[in-house]
Amino acid sequence: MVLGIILVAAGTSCNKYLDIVPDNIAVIDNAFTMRTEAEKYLFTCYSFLPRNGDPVYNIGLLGGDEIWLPRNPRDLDAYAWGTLNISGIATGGQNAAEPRLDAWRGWWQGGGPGDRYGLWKAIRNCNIFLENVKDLSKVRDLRLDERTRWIAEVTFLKAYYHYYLLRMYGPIPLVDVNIDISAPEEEVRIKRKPFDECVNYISGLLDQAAPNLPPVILDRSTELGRITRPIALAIKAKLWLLAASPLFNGNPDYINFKDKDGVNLFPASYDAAKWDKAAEYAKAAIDAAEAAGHSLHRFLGTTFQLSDTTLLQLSIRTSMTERWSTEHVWANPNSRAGFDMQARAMPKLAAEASGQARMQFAAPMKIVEMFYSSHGVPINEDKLIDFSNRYTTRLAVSSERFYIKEGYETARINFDREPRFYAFLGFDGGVWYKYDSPSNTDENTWVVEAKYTQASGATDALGFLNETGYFVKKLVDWNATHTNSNQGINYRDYPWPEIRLPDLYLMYAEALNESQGPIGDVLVYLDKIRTRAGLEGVAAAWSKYSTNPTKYTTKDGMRDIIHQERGIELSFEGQRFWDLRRWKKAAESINQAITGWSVYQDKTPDYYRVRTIYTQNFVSPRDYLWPIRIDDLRVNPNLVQNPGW
Amino acid sequence: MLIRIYFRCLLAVGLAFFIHGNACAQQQNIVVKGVVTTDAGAALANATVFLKSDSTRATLTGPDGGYQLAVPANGTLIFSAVGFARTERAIQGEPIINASLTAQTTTIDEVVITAFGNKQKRSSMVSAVATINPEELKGPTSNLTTMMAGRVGGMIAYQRSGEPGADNAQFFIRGLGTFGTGKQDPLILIDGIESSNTDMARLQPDDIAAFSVLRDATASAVYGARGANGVVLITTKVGAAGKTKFTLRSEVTASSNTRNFQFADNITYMQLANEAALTRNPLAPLPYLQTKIDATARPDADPLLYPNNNWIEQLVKDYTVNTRNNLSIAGGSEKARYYIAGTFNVDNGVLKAEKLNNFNSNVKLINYSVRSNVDLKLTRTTDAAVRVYAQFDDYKGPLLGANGENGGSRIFRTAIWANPVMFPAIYPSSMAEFPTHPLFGNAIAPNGGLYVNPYAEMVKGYSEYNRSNVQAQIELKQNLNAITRGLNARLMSYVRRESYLSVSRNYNPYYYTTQLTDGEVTLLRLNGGGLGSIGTVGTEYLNFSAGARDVLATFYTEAALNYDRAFGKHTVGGMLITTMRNYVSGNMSSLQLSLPARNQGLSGRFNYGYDNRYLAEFNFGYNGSERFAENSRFGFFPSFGLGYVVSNEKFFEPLTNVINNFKLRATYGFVGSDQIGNAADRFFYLSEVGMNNADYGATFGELYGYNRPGVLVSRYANPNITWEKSEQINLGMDLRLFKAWELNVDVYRNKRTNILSGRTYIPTTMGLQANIIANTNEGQSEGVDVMTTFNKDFGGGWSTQLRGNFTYATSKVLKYDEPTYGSNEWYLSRVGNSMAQRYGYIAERLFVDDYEAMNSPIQFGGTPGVANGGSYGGGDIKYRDVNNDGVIDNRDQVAIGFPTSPEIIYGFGGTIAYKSFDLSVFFQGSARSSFFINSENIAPFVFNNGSQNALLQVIADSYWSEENRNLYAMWPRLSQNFVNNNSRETVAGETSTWWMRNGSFLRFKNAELGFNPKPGMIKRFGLTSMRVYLSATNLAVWSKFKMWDPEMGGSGLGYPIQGVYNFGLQIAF
Repeated sequence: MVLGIILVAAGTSCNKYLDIVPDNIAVIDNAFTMRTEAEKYLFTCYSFLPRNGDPVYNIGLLGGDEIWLPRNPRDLDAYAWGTLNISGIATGGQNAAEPRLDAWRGWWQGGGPGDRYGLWKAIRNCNIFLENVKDLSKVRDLRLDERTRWIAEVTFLKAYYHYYLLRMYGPIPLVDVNIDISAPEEEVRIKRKPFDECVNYISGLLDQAAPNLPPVILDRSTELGRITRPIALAIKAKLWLLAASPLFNGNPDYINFKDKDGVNLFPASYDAAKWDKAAEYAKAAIDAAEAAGHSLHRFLGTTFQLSDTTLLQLSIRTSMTERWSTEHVWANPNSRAGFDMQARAMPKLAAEASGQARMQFAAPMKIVEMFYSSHGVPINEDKLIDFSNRYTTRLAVSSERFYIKEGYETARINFDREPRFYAFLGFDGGVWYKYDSPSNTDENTWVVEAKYTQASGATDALGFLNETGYFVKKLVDWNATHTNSNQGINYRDYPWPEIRLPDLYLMYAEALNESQGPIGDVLVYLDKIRTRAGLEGVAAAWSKYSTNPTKYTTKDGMRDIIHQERGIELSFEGQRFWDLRRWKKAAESINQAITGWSVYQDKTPDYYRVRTIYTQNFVSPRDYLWPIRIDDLRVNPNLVQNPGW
Repeated sequence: MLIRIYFRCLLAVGLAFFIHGNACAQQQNIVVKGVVTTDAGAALANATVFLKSDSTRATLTGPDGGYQLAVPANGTLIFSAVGFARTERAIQGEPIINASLTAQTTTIDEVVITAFGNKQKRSSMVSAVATINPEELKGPTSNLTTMMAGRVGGMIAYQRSGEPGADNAQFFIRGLGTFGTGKQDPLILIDGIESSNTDMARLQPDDIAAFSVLRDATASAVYGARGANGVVLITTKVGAAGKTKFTLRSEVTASSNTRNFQFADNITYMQLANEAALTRNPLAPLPYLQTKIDATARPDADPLLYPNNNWIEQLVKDYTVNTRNNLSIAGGSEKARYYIAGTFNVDNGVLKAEKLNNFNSNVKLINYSVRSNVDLKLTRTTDAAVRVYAQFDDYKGPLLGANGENGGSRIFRTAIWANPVMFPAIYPSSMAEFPTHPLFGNAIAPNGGLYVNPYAEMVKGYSEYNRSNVQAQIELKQNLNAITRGLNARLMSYVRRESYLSVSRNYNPYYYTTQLTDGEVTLLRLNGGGLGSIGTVGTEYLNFSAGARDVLATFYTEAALNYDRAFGKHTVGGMLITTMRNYVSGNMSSLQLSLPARNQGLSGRFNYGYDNRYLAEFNFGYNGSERFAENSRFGFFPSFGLGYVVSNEKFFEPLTNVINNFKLRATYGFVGSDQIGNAADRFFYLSEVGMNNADYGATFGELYGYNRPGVLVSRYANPNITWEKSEQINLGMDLRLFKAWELNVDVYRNKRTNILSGRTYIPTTMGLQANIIANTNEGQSEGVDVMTTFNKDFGGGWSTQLRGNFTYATSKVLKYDEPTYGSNEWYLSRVGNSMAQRYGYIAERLFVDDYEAMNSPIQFGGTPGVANGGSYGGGDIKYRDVNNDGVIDNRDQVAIGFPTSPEIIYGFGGTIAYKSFDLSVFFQGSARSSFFINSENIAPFVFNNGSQNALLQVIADSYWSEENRNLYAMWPRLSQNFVNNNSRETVAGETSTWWMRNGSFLRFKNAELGFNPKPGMIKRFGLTSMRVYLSATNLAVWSKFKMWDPEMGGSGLGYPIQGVYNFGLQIAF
């Protein structure tokens, strides 16, 4: 019995035996003890920025009607377009059960490998950071000026993540302060807030952030790519442009959209003052950007002997692909357009392995036709050049040799176009100058040959092919070179430009035209872009070449001009997708069929016949906003689903 | 530090007993020898001989029936053996006592090993403990786990693969008791040492003395936090004092696949490949030209130019030969007894060994072990046992696949994922000018890469692994009769080290294809590394890659007090035990995982019996686990049971000639499980924060030069998480009729609460990066276990033993953390369904045509209409829109089929013996389970990671085609690509009734014909006993499913289950 007592005592008094966890196990507080650890948390807040330099994550690039993919887009499971088996947004597969590109949850790949960047997670991290870094008793070795800047950066990011959701979903819940994990069910079931409240909230955050952000990054070697004041002001301008645009500004489709308590979630009527604000904030962003040294990019030339035509084309091309170009107001080094973006756009110019030049990005005919004529006016308005016979073919002459191979027979539509057409698009017979030109000049250089059985033809049965015959040259850096072994291609990556200066100019022009009509500044800022593109100004071009010479003098005419200019200048960047929605023009544009050349033909007359590839079906008003996943509605009964879903 | 003090204090207490025991060691002992036989005269091995007054003084008889035991001269010996009547003999100073046991009796007085190695008479037990005679576990296999199914009441078992080294059967006691990610299989204790499934697999039936399965709370509550899923207890043999006995068993077996999958012929393959291309896209280029098809069909076709492979025939042998040897040496004196056993088994795979390289990449598993059990009599009252066991696996086989796929399984899988007509396995070396390496065949695949050549995959290299397990155990027993009679103490400790290392070596094959140069066939090297080289460049030398290197260490101690005494009609017993366990692993990925796993506990048992009629028992476990926060760390698990031996009542006497035994039992109690949730979640009460997570880092700088990792919370702290708890009730009945027929029936219901589950009420807007988990779910399992035996000696040398087993275990979810579903989606709730229920879509039939597809609900966001370039259409599977919302999506999944783990396992068989010959057969079956074909694995013509799938005959026989629109064909419309509509595996592993199959089967599991010469015949060879036998396993299987062995379930592409034919010899001298 004595022994029994000893045993019992030994068994129970040794509670400590199970205390095996040592002190100093990493917990969240450790992130805010020292500057070096807090910096990691700052970077964590950045890590959720959507990766637009990757076609899988860039919603707009493949989700609309701007780039079309082969039916089997091998190795490109982009839920924006779809895959062989699953329809994406572009191919009519958006649904509420498994929403495509579900940023709400972070499921960009439908539950795939990279699906960890949910934006609500991002916002929670931002709030954790702000709570801790605003507390001066934490991160004691962080200097006050740096602390102020970090707080401003994360405040910006918090605003940006909210803005990103707002653009997709319309009214959203706002999470200004984190809810405790152990909060009861009622407290965690937050509701969507009215649209205007969301805009004012986000705008307020940006106002808090902007003054404390650096106007320009001085330490370029370690900080380039971090948020600056011009970026914050640009996002604020974008926010108000969104709020002023027809989709959200008194859209009759949404007037009766209420939450479960009967609160109207959309503004009931049109408010013109929003355009005034949008113009004012766009101008402020332009001023801040230009003061910080941003300007339209010009190609500085190389040691090679190049024609003026090619130099102009390189100025246009490198405005996108030059690393840290002066016109990149915001370039994101965490999402760089490298192999994943460029190989998909690159045609096979020589005997590359097909995995190196996948050429899947194809521009539909309506995008090809959107580009201006060489006179800088729409091809259906040009009174001097006739494009009515645009699907016939002719041979290229010597004077055109920097754009089209001399003596090559190609379609009428490829002749007499503006320089941006040749800078942004590759096509059968089109010249594709790049750094490793065999001749070291732009004479006798790389040419795309795209008919069936030719190098860039649609021969690959398993999905590395181009469906329309138009290749997206804009996304491929001209430094891409063939390597010596294995027919590889070295692509030079570039930080994805989230905001380019022309975007700000076009925003300003658009808002100002809506608010005050086609007054001076509207033309001034449009002409800056046109000049860089090698075109005459709007007034001159329309007066001289257009069948509708006074179009630019009216607000409505000018709106069309701005929309088209925006479509051309910002093409293939994923902007058109959002612009069409914002303008409420998506139903009209997207429901036009996707067409292209008959790429499975090897003879010229057979190849140059337009064929219909796909008919998209944009359901209005349903498809203007994202569906909220049904599971999310089930879990949180206080959320209401967007109209139509 | 504290452990050490604790341990030291235990040792000091133990030593005190020995000194005390020495002082009063005064009683007269003699050594008694003898032979135990059946009443037919055959030597009876493994019979238990023990002293009536002290059942710990026991021994087992050797193969010749001999025993030797040191006992008090005035004591009484008891002889017992499974299936025989127990016999008592007073010693009265006799040095030789022979006993003959009557065969047609029962297990009623068998000694059963119960928790913590205690022995209990079956007649005095109230709990549900199943035992099995180790003899029954012998079969021509070197994997003990494959012998379980259908032989042990209450055990659900099945085997999914036949590959040596990966052929362990999975088994569950009373089916699945829980769901989610926690542990579901039982605790296995071999001589009190916590062991793995593999340890049990390597155990030799010859070395096993007793095998028990603890099924209810009363039996396993003392294991507290570790016993909820049932406990398997195995004890190994001990030596008997006397002449040294050698027992040798040697077996040679031939083993072959029970079933191979059947390919269609290659002409059909090419024709259907063309059809697969055209039926989805009329413009598609044809994979095979008609000229190639015609040329291949010609009987004189050149196999190098027109390859025509059946990869299974080219890679797999008809049979393979294995050997097994087991030697044991037992003997000793009164002071020290030993049982030493050694095992050497060689198991070969069925892959063809090629002379191409000097390494053989067929599977070869050598496992060998040494066991040394030494029992010492330190003083008259002190016993000690030292047991050392070392077991080693040396494996050599084909290269391992990705994600831990076994080598043999990978070869079988590669054989079906291979194009049969694009290249031959290898070209003769005469075709190259300077052949210094094998000239493997290959071709350029449509994706621009190379095909997978399964032959090259098999021979290009090999992998090896070595697994070892070394354990040393010390046990001290002190008789404390000096304090009070019937009391004794026990101390046991063991240390166990396990290690595993693996390595792979291979060269990259050079691939060749044929080309015509000037009308002559020459070879073109495809992956030479120069311009135009495709795929991985070949090497002539071997590359090396290291695999896993794991080291595990366990330390365990238990100290116990036992009390057992009879006072007239009253019997009283008790046990108190404390345990502690420490387990560390040397290859851990995070700080938290690197910390040791610990358990600590105090358990007890108290039992009382009156007049062999009324029995009562109370057990408890009080256990702690380091995984939980301090306030929920310890759990108390009580249980009690009652027994009533009706047949011992006075009023029952008239019946006892017919009903020899009739006993009713009832138990109720609680058991727990601390192995819940994901093993990576070591400490639920602590948050886990990764401070250097690359995925959440960022990069800045002109040259992207400044990057920092980020912070990720991968678990939020929850101090309230605690045990899973199992409330178990068991009702049992034991019946013996006509002194021949024994029947044990147990029915039970277990309710499992506190099952860990993710909380679903937390919306996405909370932005949490890890799931919040809590002990919310509940489940219930119930069933019945029936065991029956019939033993009869007909006289004239004829005797028979028949046995049958039936286990029915079903389960259902009682509570599941899930959102509230609307009334039209009630079926989405898991509540009420089996814990192993699969969910999937209801496949109605195939679409008649595109028109029907386009006018039916959209399926999975696809585009209907094959002719318009849609993703599905006529000939693809049509699903039912269960919730009627006009689309087929994940909300249309319902519970389909039976659970994946069978609900019924049964077995029956028997032995007929005539004089020296015996014949036994055993059948085993399984019912009420479903399995699901992974259709992507067999989807013909699809490019599957560089491999192109072959065509199974069953698909060629029955598929939908535009000409033959069979709406219920086995295979939907052909395709060159995975059709997501048909194979939902790509999306979250979903499935449908189209791919569901019935998992029921009955197999002729075992047959054995043995010859045991009479001792007189073999004496002149110096042998005391001998047995020669022929046996076979898996002779036949009956099932509706024919594509592969149905027991393999959904993993049918792996290494098939083996049918084995065996010749064996056992001798003792």
